[in-house]
Amino acid sequence: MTTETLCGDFYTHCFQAEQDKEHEGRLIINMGPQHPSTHGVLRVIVEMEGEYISRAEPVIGYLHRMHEKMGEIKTYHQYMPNMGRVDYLHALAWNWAYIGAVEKLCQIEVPRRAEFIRVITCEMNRICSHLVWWGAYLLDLGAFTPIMYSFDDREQAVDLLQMITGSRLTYCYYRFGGVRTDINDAFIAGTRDFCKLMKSRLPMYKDLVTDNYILRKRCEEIGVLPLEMARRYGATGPVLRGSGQKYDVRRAEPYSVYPELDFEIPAFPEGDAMARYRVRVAEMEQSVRIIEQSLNMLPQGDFMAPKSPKRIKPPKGDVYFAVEGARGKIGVYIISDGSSTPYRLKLRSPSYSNLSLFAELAKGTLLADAVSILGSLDLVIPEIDR
Amino acid sequence: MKTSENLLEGLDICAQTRCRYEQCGCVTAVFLDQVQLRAAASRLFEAGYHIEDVTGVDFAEGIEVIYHFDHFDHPVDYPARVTLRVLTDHESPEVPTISDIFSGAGWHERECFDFFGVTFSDHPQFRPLLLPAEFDQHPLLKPEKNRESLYAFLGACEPVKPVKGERYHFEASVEAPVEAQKTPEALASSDTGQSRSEKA
Repeated sequence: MTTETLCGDFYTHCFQAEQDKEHEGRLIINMGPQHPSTHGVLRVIVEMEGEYISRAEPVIGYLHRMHEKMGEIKTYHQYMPNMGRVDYLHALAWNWAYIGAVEKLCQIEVPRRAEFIRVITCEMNRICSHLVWWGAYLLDLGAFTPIMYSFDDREQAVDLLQMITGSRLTYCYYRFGGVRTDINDAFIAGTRDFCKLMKSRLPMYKDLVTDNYILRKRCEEIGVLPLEMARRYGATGPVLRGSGQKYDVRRAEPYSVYPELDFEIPAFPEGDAMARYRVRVAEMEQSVRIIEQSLNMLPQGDFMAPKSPKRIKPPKGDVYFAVEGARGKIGVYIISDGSSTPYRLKLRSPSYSNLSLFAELAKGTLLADAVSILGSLDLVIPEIDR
Repeated sequence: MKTSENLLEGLDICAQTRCRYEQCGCVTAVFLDQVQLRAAASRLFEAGYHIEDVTGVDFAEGIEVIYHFDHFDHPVDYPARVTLRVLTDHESPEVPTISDIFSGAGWHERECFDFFGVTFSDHPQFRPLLLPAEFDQHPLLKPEKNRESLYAFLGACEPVKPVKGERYHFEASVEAPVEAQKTPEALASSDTGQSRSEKA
């Protein structure tokens, strides 16, 4: 045994063992788990040929918390706070996926006002999530200023959400049959101001960043993801729409009041990092549109179903419920045995599928471009590891 | 687009759990013999489906591996989620891989091994993914006394329609429980699956 094989851990050994005989001696390096561009603890083992990546393998699990096991132990109510902690950037979408699945299983009716409140808050949260991604992605690519702008905007949205949900990041706001608290006039006025603000900021961002020559050089024709490959890996969300497929769960499997709202699904056919960037920026515009419409359509009434059960004991059976999160299709699959805890609870996280295609996508690219590709996938590591 | 029923036509399906989309979020849920799994996955792939997830459930009869597929271009009034289920035994759980057909299944299958200890034969990179390599337990396996019968859950998905022959009638659990108890062994072992298709 040479000293080389003694270095590294289990995954490095596996990776080394898979090296072709003719490529022996190529440099194998670890990017992460504490690499700044991985936004959390993601590790990618790469085999380098000069500046180019010849092979890559993501190693995940550093933030694994076994949410699925917790789901089997906790009661339906006790499990709700977990959902805010799976994907911290778009926590309300996960709230919704879980609550929606249980509501479907128990056939709980949600009042119309509550549906609109859910749409407004979820879309606000989506904008927050995309703003964090936008700032952080550009930071990865070496632009420091944008994150200052995006966090400035996000701060306003987060303040508004804090006003009604009580938290700033790990929301636990939706309840079986409605939402925790009603929205007030201050929130509605603040949200209208926020929409106005975003409408003035987004064109500025376009001038400032999207049309920037340096950014384009770093994104255009980098990490081109063919649609066929996206399908093979089950990629969803902006990653898929960046490859030209107009697929959005809000339209494909309509839930809540989304069918009544007028919005578009932005998709760009290029498949490169720039296309994925454009999709997210365009989605922020659409989210603003959705919020404004929902505020105008907001009916009076209950924010919580008056007959919502205090104890959740769904009938025997299984249910799959999907919602569109900021990163793609969030699916919750519950098998109920009729007791107060699920028999099995499966969380389908979109970035898990989106990251799994990285190994194939990164082959043959420059190491510096791999950073751009990773960023364009918009990874949230706690969501991948669950 | 072909409907999911046409899609799986001709395959030796053990039982078809006809689900209502409004109730369980799936359009078709099919119980397959292991030997048919790859054929079914190939057909779904050719029809333009994508993989959502692969997961397992621990039942008294064995570990059920569940595959969820969906389609990007389905009509709005016709959702397309298709569920494939196979059963494998507790002693040496093994299922053929579909990661060469749907590349995305690769990670889901590795996760399934971490949580349930199910081996996916011919998987190109079969090693732990989410759990540490030196951790030799499978956290989502249930203690034997907590395992429930698979048939209790299938009975809840209404209505259950036998596709081939009365032998695999899953409603048997409601009407004639004795016969139902015979089927899991037949399901779990792929040998009997082959002999069954020979008979057919």
